Amino acid sequence: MDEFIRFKCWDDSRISKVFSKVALTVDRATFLATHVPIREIALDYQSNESNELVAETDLLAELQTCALNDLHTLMIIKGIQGTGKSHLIRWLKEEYMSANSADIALLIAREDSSLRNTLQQIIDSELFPADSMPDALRRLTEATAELSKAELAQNLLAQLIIGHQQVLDNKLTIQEEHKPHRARVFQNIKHFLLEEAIREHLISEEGVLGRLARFLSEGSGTREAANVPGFDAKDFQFETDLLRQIKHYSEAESLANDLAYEEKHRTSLARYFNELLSQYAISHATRLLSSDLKQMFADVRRSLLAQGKNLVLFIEDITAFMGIDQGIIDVLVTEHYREGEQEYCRLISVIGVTDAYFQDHFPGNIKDRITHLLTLAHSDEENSGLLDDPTTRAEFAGRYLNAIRVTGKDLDTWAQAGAQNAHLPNRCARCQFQEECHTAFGYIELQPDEPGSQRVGLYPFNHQALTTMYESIDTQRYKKTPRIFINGIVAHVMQNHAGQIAEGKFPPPPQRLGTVFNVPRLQSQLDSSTLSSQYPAKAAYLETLFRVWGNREVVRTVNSEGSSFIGAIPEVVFSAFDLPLVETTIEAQGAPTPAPTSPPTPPPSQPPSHQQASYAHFLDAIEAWRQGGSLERYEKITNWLISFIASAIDWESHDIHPTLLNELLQQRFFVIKDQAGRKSSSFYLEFERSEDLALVIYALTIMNHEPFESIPADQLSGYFATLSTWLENEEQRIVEFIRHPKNPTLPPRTLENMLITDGLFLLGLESMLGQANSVGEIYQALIGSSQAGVEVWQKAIGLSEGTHTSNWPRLMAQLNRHGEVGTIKDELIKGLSCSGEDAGFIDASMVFDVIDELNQVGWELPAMDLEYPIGFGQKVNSTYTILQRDMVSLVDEETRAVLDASKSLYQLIGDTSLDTLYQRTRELLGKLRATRNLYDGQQLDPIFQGNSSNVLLATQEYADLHELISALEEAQVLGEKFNLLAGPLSSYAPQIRNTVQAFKSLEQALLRIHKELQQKGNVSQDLREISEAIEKSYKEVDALIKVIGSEATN
Amino acid sequence: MILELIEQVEEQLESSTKIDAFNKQRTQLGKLQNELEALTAKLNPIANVLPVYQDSVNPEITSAIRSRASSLPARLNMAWQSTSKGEIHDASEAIQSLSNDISELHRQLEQGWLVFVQATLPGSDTTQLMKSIPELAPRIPHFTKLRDEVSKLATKLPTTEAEFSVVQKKINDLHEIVNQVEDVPPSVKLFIRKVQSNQASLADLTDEVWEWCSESEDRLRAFKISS
Repeated sequence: MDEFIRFKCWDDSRISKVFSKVALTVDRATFLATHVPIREIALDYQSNESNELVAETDLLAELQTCALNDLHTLMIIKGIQGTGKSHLIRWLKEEYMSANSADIALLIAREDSSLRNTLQQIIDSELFPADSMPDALRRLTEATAELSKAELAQNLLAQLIIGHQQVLDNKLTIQEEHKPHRARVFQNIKHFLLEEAIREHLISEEGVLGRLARFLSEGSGTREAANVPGFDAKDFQFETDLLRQIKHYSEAESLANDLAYEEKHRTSLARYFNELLSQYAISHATRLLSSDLKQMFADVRRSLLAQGKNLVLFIEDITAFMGIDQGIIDVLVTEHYREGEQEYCRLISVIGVTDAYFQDHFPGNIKDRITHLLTLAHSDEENSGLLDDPTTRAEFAGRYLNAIRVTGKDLDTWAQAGAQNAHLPNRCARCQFQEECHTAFGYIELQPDEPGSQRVGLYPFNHQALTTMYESIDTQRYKKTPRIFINGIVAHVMQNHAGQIAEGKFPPPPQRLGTVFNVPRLQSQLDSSTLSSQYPAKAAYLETLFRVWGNREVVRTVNSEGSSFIGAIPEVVFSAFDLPLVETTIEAQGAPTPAPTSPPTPPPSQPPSHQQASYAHFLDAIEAWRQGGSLERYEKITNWLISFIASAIDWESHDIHPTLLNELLQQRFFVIKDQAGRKSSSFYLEFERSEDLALVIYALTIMNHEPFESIPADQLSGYFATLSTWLENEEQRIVEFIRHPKNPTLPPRTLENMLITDGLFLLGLESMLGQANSVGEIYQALIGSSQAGVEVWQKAIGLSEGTHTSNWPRLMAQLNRHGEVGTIKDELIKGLSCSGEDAGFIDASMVFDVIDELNQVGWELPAMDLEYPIGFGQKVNSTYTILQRDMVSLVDEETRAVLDASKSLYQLIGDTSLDTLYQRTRELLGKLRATRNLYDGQQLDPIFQGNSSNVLLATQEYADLHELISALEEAQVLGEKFNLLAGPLSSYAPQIRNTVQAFKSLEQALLRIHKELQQKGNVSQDLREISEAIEKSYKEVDALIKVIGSEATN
Repeated sequence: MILELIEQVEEQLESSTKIDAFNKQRTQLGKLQNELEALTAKLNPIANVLPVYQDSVNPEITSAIRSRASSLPARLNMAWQSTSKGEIHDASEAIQSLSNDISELHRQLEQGWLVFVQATLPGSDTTQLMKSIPELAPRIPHFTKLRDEVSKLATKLPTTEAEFSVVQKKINDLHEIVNQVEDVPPSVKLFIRKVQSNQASLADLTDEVWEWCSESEDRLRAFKISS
């Protein structure tokens, strides 16, 4: 190849090997080849000096000094995720061990963050040999086995309960600020954890303990310690179904209720459980207690002391020991001398911790025993600060790019030969395009301070591209760390797009370039249009090039040396990517040219557009959104869109209830993709980002601000055409959303069907169904009931208390808790055209259809997926849901109650005629009254002796009832039963109940009297026994007298 | 069913009056039963002790007992008849009368027993003689103890044959010692009494006395000649 076009100077297979996400798993040679020296490490305190900045070489020297002076060392390296702690620790390990090969080193990588993997690393390190330390090895193996068990979640739960009990018994101390403040919450925890439904929830696959168990066992799959699971307040936001399942312990129910209503209780309980987990539950679940770890390491250090060796621990992140981390910290602070005698071998440890862990979990009393506390760069929450220097950024990128250009074998040879920077294999050194490539794309110096330093090219990036992408990192979601820079930018582009250079399709379109950053816009959107029109096949690649590699202006400049740039990009870059040189005007001679080794200065901010119009800021916002940004000022824009939708759609032709329109044509229910504000409703209709929509809202903005006559006719007609086309495509979706906001796929008329259904059931519940059986009769009854209004409903609730089981009025009250009944009746009146002149939206055939459908399913309501979220639809919906949920059980219960009552009645009465029974009862009561102290007839006399017509069933009534009961017993479907119960049976209910009650009272009184008389009967038995006893006594006396008499005679 | 229950209660009501009467009778019979039991308690020890008593103690009293006992069966029979007829009051009175007679019988037995036992107790001169008989002198404490025990037992009528046997054995033991004293010839007894009152002379040392004394070295040494 003679020309520097579509050139590829790397081996794809090297990319995944070099850009490993895990620093500690990269091979040593690659690691050293890509390692960028860290020069700004803040030494928080060591002696009296504070905030001194040191380099990694200083740290290495310090470790060497500690080793030389036989000093116990605990070096803690703090830093947010991705700041390069792992790199630094690995580098320190490599360098330290090459100078102290007699020491025994244990390097613990975080790997997949699982505790099981961490323990496995210790086992694999053979620090605890099977022959000399079998017990320690067994403990570790058992712990990993425990972590592998399917029952780990249950085990954790059990340990949580035991741990809590230990706290209650004062055997385990949890700081007061970590306990729930409210005593009631704390007291109820135990039963809460014992409650079956809660337990099942916590240990389920998606439950917090299920997640934690998976994490301990399998890890997160990533290295992000921030993902370490634990209890979170939202873990206690239980679904209603779960709350209903709580039935064993009232304490659990009480706590669940407290949690449901108060965020602070959820938060405090989560904090407390997390403390229990870290202090007790995890270590006990693994059976690897702090004391065990301490003992194991004490043993190994004694053993190493005997062998004349020392131990060095390099731990990438202490959180990899989640749950037993406090035990590990105990190990780390144990010094080798005790009271002047050396008991253990010396321990030097270098430990990585996140800032958050250090602040929240590192024990305060142990902090004093840290010998070296370091912070990587001046990190804050969003920015490690390490890459703020563009030169360092370029150095990172350059070293990685070089590593994929050379072979692994060459790197190994270099590493074995001492890994000197000056001798680092460099592909650029033997590249035929080195000069033009480095001039166009830039390069780094491997030894900047030394003459003849090696240069490594940044191709296919340049300084500006690295800067643009790094500066544009989406800090809402990502932190500006070396890891994100390397993996999210350099590795991502090389892995996913750089291969396209050979196709002439690099760089990719802006929206596909990366995921961790937002590509900034061109300074002028006109340029975008120009590129599209002039270079339709390459416009997207060119746009990315200008926006990322260049200064976002499509302007040609020529520098003092006569070199030509477009958008501050050298022409060579265009040819290297096989992109056309864009035709543009020459802006200036001698414009600044970016130096190949230093990044360009930031581009000037975009000049405001549309300054001429008062609504220019809206147009700017729309343009920014069109280009991939978020939509600012979306509220007004959405309102214009809704006004347009409201007026442009013929709602009547879609059978849309007008109430629904009023309720749903609101700004909060319409969302434009990537609008800048949050969505304020849980359901909404979202319009995707598209050129069409951009044009629509652009047109609406203009049309809402400019009088139509001031808009040029061709422009206006264009706007109308745009609006019309867009609406044509979207109308169906909008209509379906209005009809069923949460279930747009449901068939139409569902809401009306539900409304009628609700009305029919309400009619039955208020016992106004009467004897209506035919469809026509029911229709008439429905109209009559709706007109009667909600007052009748309230009265019916009162009446039903005397005629039905208690759940009947309860359900009625529940159905009207938020005034649903009034709304439904009103809507029915409107719909059935019961008032006003306008024809209603419900015609008789619709009612007939619903009744037919109900008859077909025996009035057993099918579950409806429809979930209508607001307004009258919600009331209709919720009423239906309650009816669907409760009617079957209510009718079952009512049927049971009526049948039970009638069964009781039959049992009491038998075949006797009611007249006979009443007569005999009266006679008996008369006799009983004559018997002193045997009968108190106050309760029974008024019923059976006085006027009983209001209380007892008459003979004819009894016969009628018998028939109704038989009909109820034979009824097969809910509708038939409901009809009987709500109609004729309800009028008999009080007399059935009273009659049963009267006879039961009589029965009880008679049974009591019967029992008393029976006890009297037992007297005769007593008498017989006593007489027999007396006879026996006589005989005894007689015998004795005879003895005495005969003796005396003798 | 209600109707069945009504019928049952009606039936029970009819028999209610009769039951009331039974109830009253039950109370009275209970009282009678108690009285009979008390009577049995009194008769039992009498019947137990009577055979032994008659054989060995005091035959004179049997006539009194017989006269009382002879009327008892007839009176008991009368009480039984009254009870059977439901004349509980009469029966109770008859039983009470029987009880009084039996109490009297018991009293007579106790008195007879006291007399009998006291009659068996030896006089004080027996102890005096024992002091001067060398082989009996050591048994004086045992003898004294036995005599005191028997004396106490005289105040309580034995209620069983075993109790009676215990007393009988103690009386026999006492009399075994007394008999040894009784076996000493009268002349020797006289001699010993004179010695004990310092009135003995050589004249009192008869052949019979000398022979008795010569029967053992202890006896010879028991008496000293003084002027």
